[in-house]
Amino acid sequence: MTNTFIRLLIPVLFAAAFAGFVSCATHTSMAKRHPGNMQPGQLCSDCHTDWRVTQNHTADFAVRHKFLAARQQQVCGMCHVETFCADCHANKEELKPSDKFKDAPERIMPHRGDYLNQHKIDGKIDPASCFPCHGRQNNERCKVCHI
Amino acid sequence: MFTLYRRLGEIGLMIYRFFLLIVVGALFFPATSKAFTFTGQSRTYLQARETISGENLTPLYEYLDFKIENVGSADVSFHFGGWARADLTGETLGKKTNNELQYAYVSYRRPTSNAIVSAGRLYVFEGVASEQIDGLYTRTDLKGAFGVAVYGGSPVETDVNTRSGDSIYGARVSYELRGTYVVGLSYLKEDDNSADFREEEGIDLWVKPGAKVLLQGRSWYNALTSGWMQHNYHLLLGPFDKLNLNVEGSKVSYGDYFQSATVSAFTFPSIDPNETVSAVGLGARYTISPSLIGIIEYKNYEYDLAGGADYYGGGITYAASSGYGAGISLYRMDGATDNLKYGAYRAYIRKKRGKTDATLDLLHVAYDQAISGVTDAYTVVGALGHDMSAKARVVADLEYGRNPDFDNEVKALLRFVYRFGAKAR
Repeated sequence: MTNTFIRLLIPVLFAAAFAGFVSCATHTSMAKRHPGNMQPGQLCSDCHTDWRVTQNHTADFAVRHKFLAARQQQVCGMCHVETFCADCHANKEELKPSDKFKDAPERIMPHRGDYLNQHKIDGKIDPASCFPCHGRQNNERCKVCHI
Repeated sequence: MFTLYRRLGEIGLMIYRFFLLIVVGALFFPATSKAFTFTGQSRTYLQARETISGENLTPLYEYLDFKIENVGSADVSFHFGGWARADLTGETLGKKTNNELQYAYVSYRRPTSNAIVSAGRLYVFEGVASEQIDGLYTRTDLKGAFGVAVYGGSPVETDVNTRSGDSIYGARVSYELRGTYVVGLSYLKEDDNSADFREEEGIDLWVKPGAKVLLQGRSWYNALTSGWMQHNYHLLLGPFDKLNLNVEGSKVSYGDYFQSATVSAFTFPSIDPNETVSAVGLGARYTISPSLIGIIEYKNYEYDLAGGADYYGGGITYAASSGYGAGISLYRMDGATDNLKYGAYRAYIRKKRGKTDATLDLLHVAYDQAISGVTDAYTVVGALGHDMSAKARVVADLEYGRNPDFDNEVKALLRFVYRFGAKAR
């Protein structure tokens, strides 16, 4: 019963989205591009003092970026092209992200160095952290051993 | 109803092709369009490495991404990203060549209400959804601070079976009091071969009750197993002068979370479906000076069935405008048994002078219990980069490793990046 309700609700939401598209809200959309080029290491709080400082890309932002992306991915697009996401969030990536950017050691990159052996420990302790990237996709390399 | 959502994928592709025709038409007949911009980059990687079995591999990768924007008077754009690989020697993962279309979609963006509609192969990040789909996606703000996002099509996943009868659809409805809180409710349904594969519901929160407090997180519910998959919340406090604090709490029920896994590492017996893990993490970041930052972290894992684990450590990073960058970090994983314990240590230094930069990165992992007779794994990376122009850059790196799989592992990689862009009128 619940499933049927939700399946019927989705087209209603499609209609709502379409209605919103056409007329509902009239406020100006957020800027397509961030005005002014951000320099490496620059923080939102260097210019902003309101809620936007919560998007500061400090070292721990790598762990929390999922919350922002899942809420409003257009915000990410103000500074990043989609390839920036696809370098890690891939379907069948073969090159490790950390291999692609060895000249940027300050960037938080998963699986630096010999992760083939370390993953046997991390995978037992926190397999849920592996699953978002390797659970249903990007796992051809996993399947060499984990058939 | 299932057929409807499969049709959505086909409709999405039809719309994608239609808009693609418009985009291509506008490019070839610029007189019909007011303007367009074409930007992108090509990244070419040539890697040399050896496999565990002793085979020498020399894969050549080409990563290409570009976008065409402002086509015609409307805000229509086309986005493309993908890669292809050809092996000059050997066979990577048993294939001489491989490729992936990461995304290719047409998008229309309205100047009001943050409304956007996209069709083609695209990424969807909306609440419980973090998906790559072939289909249709749309979102818009509604009146009264509500927002709605809806998507549907066919899921793009590793080819573990055919894509016949596969469909995915879902939505997220949100309410926002700008700068104070956002609450979202989301739903995702995926069918594999016309059978139920995933049905997930989620709630996400972003709450900022004060200038120095932020709570954000999410809870996901698996409607097929009738259980909560995970709760994951972060509390950020600060800054208090130069100090920022964060607290993380999470709980994952393996039976509900891993229900839709397609690789054996996430199924029984590797994963016990009766297991539940609760984790609490604490972290502090201290800005010693604008260029010098210290971090300490601690995370505790508690399991219903297995023993607990602690992960803790910290580091200091230095980044100066003069072009110097450096970092050192020391972390320790203390699992319940000796084979789940290691120390991970890292130090790097980077210097940029003029158009040239050099990097040295040292990593050491010390296992409490030897793996294949080895307790210490070392990796040393040296990289040299040069900006040939504002658009072109070349990087060469060499990596040496000693680890449980290799007595001496040498990997080399040459990278050439070229950014291109043009604005036509």
